[in-house]
Amino acid sequence: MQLWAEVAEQDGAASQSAMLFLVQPSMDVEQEVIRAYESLRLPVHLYLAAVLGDTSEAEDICQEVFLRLFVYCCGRGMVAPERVRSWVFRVGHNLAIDRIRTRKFRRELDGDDPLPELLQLPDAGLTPEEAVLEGERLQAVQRRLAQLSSQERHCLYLRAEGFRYREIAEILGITRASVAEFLRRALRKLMRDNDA
Amino acid sequence: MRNLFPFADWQGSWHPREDDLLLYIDGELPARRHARIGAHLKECWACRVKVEKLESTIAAFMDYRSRASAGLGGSTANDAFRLRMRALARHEGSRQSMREFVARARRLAGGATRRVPAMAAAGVLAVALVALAWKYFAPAPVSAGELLANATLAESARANDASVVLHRSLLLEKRRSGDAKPVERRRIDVWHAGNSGMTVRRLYDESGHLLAAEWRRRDGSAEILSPQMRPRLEARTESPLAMLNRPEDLWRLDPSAASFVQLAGDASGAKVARQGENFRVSLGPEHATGHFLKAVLTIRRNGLRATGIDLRLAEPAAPPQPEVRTQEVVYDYSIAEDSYQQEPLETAQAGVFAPDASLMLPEQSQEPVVTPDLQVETTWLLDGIGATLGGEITVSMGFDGRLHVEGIVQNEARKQEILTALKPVRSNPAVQIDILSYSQALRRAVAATHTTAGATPGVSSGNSNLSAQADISEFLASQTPPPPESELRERVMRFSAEISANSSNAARHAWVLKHLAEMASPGSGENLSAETRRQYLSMVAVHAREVEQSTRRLKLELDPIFFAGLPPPGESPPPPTELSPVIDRLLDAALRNDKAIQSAFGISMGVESPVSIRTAEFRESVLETEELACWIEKQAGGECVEPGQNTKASP
Repeated sequence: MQLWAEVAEQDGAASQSAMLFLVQPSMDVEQEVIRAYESLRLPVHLYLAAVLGDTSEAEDICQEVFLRLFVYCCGRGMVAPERVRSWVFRVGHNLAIDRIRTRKFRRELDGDDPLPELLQLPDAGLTPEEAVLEGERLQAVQRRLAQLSSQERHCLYLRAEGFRYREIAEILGITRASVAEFLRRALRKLMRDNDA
Repeated sequence: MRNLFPFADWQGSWHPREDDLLLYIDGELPARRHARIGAHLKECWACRVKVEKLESTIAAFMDYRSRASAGLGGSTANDAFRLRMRALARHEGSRQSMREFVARARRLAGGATRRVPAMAAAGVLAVALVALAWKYFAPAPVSAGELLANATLAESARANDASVVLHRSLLLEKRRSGDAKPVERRRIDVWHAGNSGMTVRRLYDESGHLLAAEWRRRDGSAEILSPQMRPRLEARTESPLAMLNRPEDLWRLDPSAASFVQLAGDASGAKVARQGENFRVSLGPEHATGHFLKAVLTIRRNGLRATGIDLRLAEPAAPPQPEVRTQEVVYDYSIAEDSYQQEPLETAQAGVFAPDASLMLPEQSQEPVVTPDLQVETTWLLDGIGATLGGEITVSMGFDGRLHVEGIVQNEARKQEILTALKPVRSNPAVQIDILSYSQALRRAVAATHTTAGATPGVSSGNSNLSAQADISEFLASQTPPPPESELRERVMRFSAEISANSSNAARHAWVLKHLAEMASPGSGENLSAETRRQYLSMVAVHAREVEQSTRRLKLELDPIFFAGLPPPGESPPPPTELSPVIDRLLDAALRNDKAIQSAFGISMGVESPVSIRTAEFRESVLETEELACWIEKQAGGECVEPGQNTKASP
């Protein structure tokens, strides 16, 4: 009997605290995640676009990543700020790879992924000759980027985001030495005198 | 690392490997090696060039990348994310509290096992608590009010995005409640332009025929076109409740959180349920008003977009009759999204916002055209039942370019008679018929002047004004044989009434002739078809004959009494040449005569002194009326006996 009374008492306290949570569901976490989204959505979006070769699909996954971050943080409290960046890139990368796999499964004849068509028109204010040169220059980069393997491309874009090799290795789930090797190959392919 | 210390024995021949140079510029080397390569680069131009090359390659890539990123991230992405986030936060909040609850229950159960040996009891307790917790927290993770408010926000964010055109296709199904088979299926195509705020909604039947369309502007005003009806304009968006009262207008109801909130009035009473990918918000019987029984809105959890609405309405089974309370039938309507697209403004077809030709065409063809034929035919129909007499009904061209048939008639029966007579032209959009029945009393007062003078008090009262009656009395008494004294009075009255009736009859028919003349504007006589021309002329002849004969009777009655002592009449006026001025003259003369007669016999209510009828001028006027009427009758193809030899007839 004593047990039941105690349980009932404790039970009341528990549901009361639960009610408090219900009324105010981790407001700070929500705000933190929105802040993280606002500062990181463009880099993540760009990276995912490079991985997927599709900007709208990338945006979709990008939002998904931050929603997952929110759910993740709700259970454990906010991820340490310095870890948030690599967290969202890692989860984003995995989601994108999953997406590519299902996509490949759907289209059996699909060989290599289509290239990201991200190029914008050259800056206004250039003379026509300059604009043509600028366009050619950018297209040359795009052509060379097309020769990169997906691993090389991932490493290159992540490095461009300012990640250290160790962080890139963590995000992609490979060793640090592999990251160094992929980056070296990527840059070699991108060098101008390698142009055919 | 294979080349931990990869250098030759003497300083001059050693160079770092290329991948080390990359590690060096990336700052990924251990401090000692970094320092060593740094020192080397100071000395070695060749390696510095390699580094430069790497740097410029990186620079080219970064340039490309920054340009690519400029094309990313629309302004709406932020809003969309925030909304998804809020919805998730509600949901996640309750899940979290659930986790807390279960964790505490577990701790409790764990504590209990230390004191109570029976482990099973604790297990049962934990299960019971979990079940209890589910009961408390599982059903309503989101409140209806908040969900609808957020969905409304999301809707307006989408609708106000100026860079896109929204296109959605809806299916409308109507079925008797309980039946699986729909009694009616419609497709609704909705286009919305974010920049202009214009929404176009088109209703198609099952075979794809356009039935109606609505153009709604940002300010809420709308135009509704349909081949079945005249264009309808609305200054403001109708409330959804008003639309529910006219189920035929339900296609204009948008399945949206905003309209659902208007429907609910106070959305807090609505219930929310999660169903797969959707929320379903329902309004139960406590919200029912009028025909409206129940509504359920479906909102997609992803993006918070309303994708459908289900309505239950009670409608009268038959056209409502005031006495009989008709049975109501309950119908279920479902408006569900079939497809949804956001198209960039530039690629959207401009034509979708333009009015449809199939809806505009009937509108143009309805332009009323009043032909002379129509005008004559209408008058002919009225004339056939004597409705043109005395200005009972007028037929005239209105400013709206339509033919107006207007008048105030004695009673409902007469009105129906006139409407029946007008049947052949009633369906013509160019004819506007506006006939009212008038109060009987007023009508009788007017009628008294036309019909029996015996009912007129002025005649029987022996008023001193009635010198004309005295003259008649004197004339009748002088007849051989003289009528008996008892009858004399009555015969005087009858005689006066006859004179009066003939006079006013001539004037009324002269009026009709005048109207007919006005109707046939110069030249239009040639435009009439042979049949209507015949009708027109026969009308003219009939009325001219009426004027002529009434006037002749009047003259014959007046002649022995009032014109006896007058000098013989002069020459007749020169023969007329045109119909229209002759009719004008005829009307003038007839009215002048009538006025003189009515005042002489005291029937007129006017106070002016009686116009003498015992003058040569009056006689001239009567003769002129007769002659003109006869001339008109002959012009219109009638047969008129020249009044010439009769004019000088005297007793």
